[in-house]
Amino acid sequence: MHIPDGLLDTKTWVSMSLISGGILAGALRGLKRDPLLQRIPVIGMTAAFVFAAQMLNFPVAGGTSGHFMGGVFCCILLGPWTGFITMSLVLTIQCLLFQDGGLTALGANIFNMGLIGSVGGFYLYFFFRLLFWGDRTRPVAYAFASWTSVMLAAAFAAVELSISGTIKLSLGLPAMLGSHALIGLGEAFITASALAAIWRVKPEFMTMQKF
Amino acid sequence: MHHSYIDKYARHNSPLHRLDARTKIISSILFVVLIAVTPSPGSVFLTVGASIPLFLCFIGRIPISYLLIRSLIIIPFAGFAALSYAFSSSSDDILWQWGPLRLSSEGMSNALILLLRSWIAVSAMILLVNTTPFDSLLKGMRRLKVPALFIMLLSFFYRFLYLLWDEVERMQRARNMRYYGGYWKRQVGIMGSMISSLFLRSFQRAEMVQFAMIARGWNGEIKLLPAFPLQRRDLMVLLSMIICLVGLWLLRTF
Repeated sequence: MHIPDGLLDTKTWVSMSLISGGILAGALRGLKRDPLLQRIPVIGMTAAFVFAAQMLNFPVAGGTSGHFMGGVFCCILLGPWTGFITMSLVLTIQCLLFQDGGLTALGANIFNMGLIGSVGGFYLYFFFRLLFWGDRTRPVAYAFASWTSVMLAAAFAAVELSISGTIKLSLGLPAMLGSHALIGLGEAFITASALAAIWRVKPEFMTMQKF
Repeated sequence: MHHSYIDKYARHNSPLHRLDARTKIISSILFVVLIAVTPSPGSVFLTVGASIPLFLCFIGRIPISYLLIRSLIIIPFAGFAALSYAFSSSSDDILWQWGPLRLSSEGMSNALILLLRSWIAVSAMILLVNTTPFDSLLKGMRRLKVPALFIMLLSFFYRFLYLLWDEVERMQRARNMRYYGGYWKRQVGIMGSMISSLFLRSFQRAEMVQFAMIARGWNGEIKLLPAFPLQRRDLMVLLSMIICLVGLWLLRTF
């Protein structure tokens, strides 16, 4: 879902960059103020973890392979804004070192995957907890939250492309949602099983103070 | 530690590698922005724009094939957008038609413009990271007033990345030795426990690093050596790059 350079028009990428830059600056200021999170190494390590976990490919039907994205995972474990900063770091490195996503589209990518796909997924989790409140159905809420957040992020990317006049919404939205429905399914199952495993091994993570 | 293929050529030696990081960062950003904001670029503009990365590639002694292969990363998105452009034009000059699919020459040229534009931007970025080691890139960004906290996070990230990368490779090897594939539900379970143990290990390691740093008097700030001045050569190159870009901007409608 990384949008490259040249697909967004000027008004879209400038405004998305301003929005994401402003939110990121606010989150960083909060991180600096919070006495508990003089935890810069932890965030750096978590970002590296997301990156490394994305290397674990798993086969999807039809010979393609999917990988874990990890936004919702980080937000639920470390808190929404720490997760947002982590995903912004990952996306910045992907843009700078791997050219996965363009420089001018970086703001839009951070908005889609960092804000909608991760922080949005974190709040969706609380919504789904209202429906699946039991302790045993917790993984179901994780799975629904991450699937929905992947779909929302894909929908936002399609909307941004259509606002730029690059791909029409009637074509882009079904294509993005269709391809991400399957990716999101993988993401959902893996997020749920990884979080359930952490819940089993180290339950104190889930009640840790978060930011 | 055998993962140097990320920015394979960053530590080679060439006139481009010896330039100050700030010069390269500013001129790449200006170039990418110029390519991205030009509303309807003409063919001369695109040709000159595309030849700049190729020329710099030659000066920086980076193989063209490497540049071309790395730039294939734009294909999934830009390729889809280009296809939708090629087939969605409403003009009359149809080149090829099959049912509702109509390939017009106007659509073709729009698709080509989109692909070229995206390619030029991505190859400028590839050149930037392959002529600048990552630490000097960060140093340059710091001097250009990117927030210190963000730079610190990025440098921690980069430092830990290779460590965890090795860890993942070891875990994958261990899994492949013990596991012969199987039902998808089991695969997902294994993936989940791999990811959770990777997370717990990395978290523990980061906390240990943090305690060690605090024990040695770290208070959340990293001190830098005094600013290193730009050489006259770097300023000259920056100035000539800016003049080139203004020239390119004047060419935008041709």
